[in-house]
Amino acid sequence: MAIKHNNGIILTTVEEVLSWGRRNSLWPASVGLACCAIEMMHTAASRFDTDRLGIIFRGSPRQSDVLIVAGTVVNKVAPMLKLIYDQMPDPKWVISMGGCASAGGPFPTYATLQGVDRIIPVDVYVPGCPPTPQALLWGILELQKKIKAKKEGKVWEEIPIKEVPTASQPIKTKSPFGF
Amino acid sequence: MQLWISQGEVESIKGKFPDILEERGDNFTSILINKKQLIELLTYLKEQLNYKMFIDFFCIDYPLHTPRFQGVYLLFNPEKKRRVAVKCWAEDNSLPSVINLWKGAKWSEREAWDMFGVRFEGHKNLVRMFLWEGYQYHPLRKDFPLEGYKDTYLPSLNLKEGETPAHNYDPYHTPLPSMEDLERTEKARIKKKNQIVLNWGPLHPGTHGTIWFLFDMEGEVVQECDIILGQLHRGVEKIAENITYTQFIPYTDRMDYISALCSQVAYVNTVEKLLGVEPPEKAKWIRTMMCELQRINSHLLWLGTYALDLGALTIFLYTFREREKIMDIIEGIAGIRLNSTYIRIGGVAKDLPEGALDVISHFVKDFPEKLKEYETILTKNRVWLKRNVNLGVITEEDVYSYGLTGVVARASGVPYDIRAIQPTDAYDKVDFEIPLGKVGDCYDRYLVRIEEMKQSVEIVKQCVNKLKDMKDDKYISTENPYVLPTLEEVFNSIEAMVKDFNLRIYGEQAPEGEIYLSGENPRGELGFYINSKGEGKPYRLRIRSGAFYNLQVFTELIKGKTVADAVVLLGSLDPVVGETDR
Repeated sequence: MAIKHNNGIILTTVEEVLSWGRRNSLWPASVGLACCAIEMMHTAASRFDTDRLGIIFRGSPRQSDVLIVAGTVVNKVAPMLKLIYDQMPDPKWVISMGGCASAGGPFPTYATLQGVDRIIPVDVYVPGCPPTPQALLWGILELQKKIKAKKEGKVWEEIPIKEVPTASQPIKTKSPFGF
Repeated sequence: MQLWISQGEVESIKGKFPDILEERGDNFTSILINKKQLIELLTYLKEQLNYKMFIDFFCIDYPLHTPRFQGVYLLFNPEKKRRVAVKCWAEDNSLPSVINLWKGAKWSEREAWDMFGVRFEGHKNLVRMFLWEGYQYHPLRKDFPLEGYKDTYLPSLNLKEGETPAHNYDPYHTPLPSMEDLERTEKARIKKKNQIVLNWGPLHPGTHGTIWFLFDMEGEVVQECDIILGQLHRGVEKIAENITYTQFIPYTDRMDYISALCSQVAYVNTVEKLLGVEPPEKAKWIRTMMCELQRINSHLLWLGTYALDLGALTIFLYTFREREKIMDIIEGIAGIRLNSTYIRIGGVAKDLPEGALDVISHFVKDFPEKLKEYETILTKNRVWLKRNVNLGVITEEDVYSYGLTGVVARASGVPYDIRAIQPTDAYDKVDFEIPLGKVGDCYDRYLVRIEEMKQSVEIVKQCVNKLKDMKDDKYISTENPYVLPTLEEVFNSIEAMVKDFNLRIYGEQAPEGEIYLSGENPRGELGFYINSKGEGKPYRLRIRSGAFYNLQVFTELIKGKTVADAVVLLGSLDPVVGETDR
């Protein structure tokens, strides 16, 4: 996007304008599955207020372009969730919210789907059990960055798995004193 | 406080049924009877001895015993405030159905069929409760593994070739139902007799989670209704049989996630009573205070979503503003906002941080004013009255027959409150009132919940006053051999380290026995039945969910009403799917 001589003329490509519009009006389908849905509601409610980011929850999958999988996906609900995903118009994105949706979480049982990415492709994984509203907002902002990078023809650099800091293995930074 | 059937009553039963076997314990008293006389005994208990309230029914699996399965009925006498358990072996894998005595048994018998494969003679529509038709196994049987049988190839769609997966990853998965399976499940529930069968849910914003309603409708009027549960069935009871008592505490949060602390307290109290652990006085007061804060929190969510369902968006934003305050308080004390695993066996996880009591006392000072604000908007609102008054009237008979508890029972005028019947923690030392309704309609349930929030504020105030004097007291009784030592003790003494290791690896070696204890959740009575065989983990842990039984009455109340009323009715019953499905 380029502004010419400050005369009120903006030069851009159609792709970029579309991408700008899409990433700033992400409409999620309001599908709540378990505990994470409560935190999702908190993200949408008065304090964190996702409306200011253009994120408005829609009741119908036909009107939405983001699916926030908030909560445990069990085997029984998995085909129905896939149906909802299939009903959403393209382009569409998926945020997997919380440990259960990402990898089964604390429920390695006969009834639980071990990761929603087994039935629908996921764009952003948000860790936490449940993730705080701040974490979900981070996930949404990350998705916006991803949409932007993709439309500009750049390769979106995902955080490599080996470098994700954990409590037991924090990222080692080089000390200025050489040890 | 003795809450089980008295010796005299058992003698009178023995006079009529000489074959019974009485098992008396401090925390559990049961009567074993043969299958032929079961219905006779239950009728006698219900009609003669006034054990007319249905609390729970569940099965236990003994693989080495013939017959293999044992059914346990829990009944309650509302006048004498006493419970009794009736046990019966399921000969030929079947038991007589008791739905003619108690309507509430319908779903629990379906559950027993689903989980154990026990049949019920005389049950009208014995279908699977949580899993789908066509599922081959009965998961709570002892020979079924926790992970299930992974026979479906279902790799991750995100995994690129040559990439290392981030977690312990198995491309094979337990079987998923097909859409045909789900259609078969739906068809098995309800036969179309009228114009149309309407599906509501499972992924609908109005269903408070993932409940799947089926309405058989004539025009706009619902004639027949059934509910499919299990869209959040995660196998919590199966998990409990495979992990230690302490490890199960986080799972109680994730069951009823709106009132996590209340669930924890109910569970931990049960385990403590089984182990004989006495928490310190300070921990008891902290628990009571946190429970009541959580109750306000839970009722606020109910109020917000209830009003939202009825079209009042403003209330939703207002209540979530107050909820954020309570969440911040809980986060400050426990470290986690929603599923705060704060309660431990023998006390609480952490001491109250400095300033916590000040924040709480400020909150309870402000809160009644906010509550008044909501009431100004809603209580005398014409639309609110038109949609709530005289809708879904629950009679006293229904309460006993369906085993309704919590606000739903109290709005119908039944003074059933576990905090008063069997006070745990500091509930016998605090002063509070139990609001009761007169009519038992949706409006009464609204009024009772609003009044309960006011009472909770009073309880929190009393707790804060008491806790101010207990600043330096102990918050966890680590001297007890069953209680995990604190982190400080582990780092500073070798004995504590050894104890910590033993408890974490082998679990709390609970004495053999049975126990049933319940807590007053915002959603009703949350009971835990633990059958211990002297191991580090429970042999059978049954969760008596209040929301599960409360939701059951919905199918009866909706008959002859419109779909618009279904939203109101469901909101006023306030189920949480995590607890109904477990």
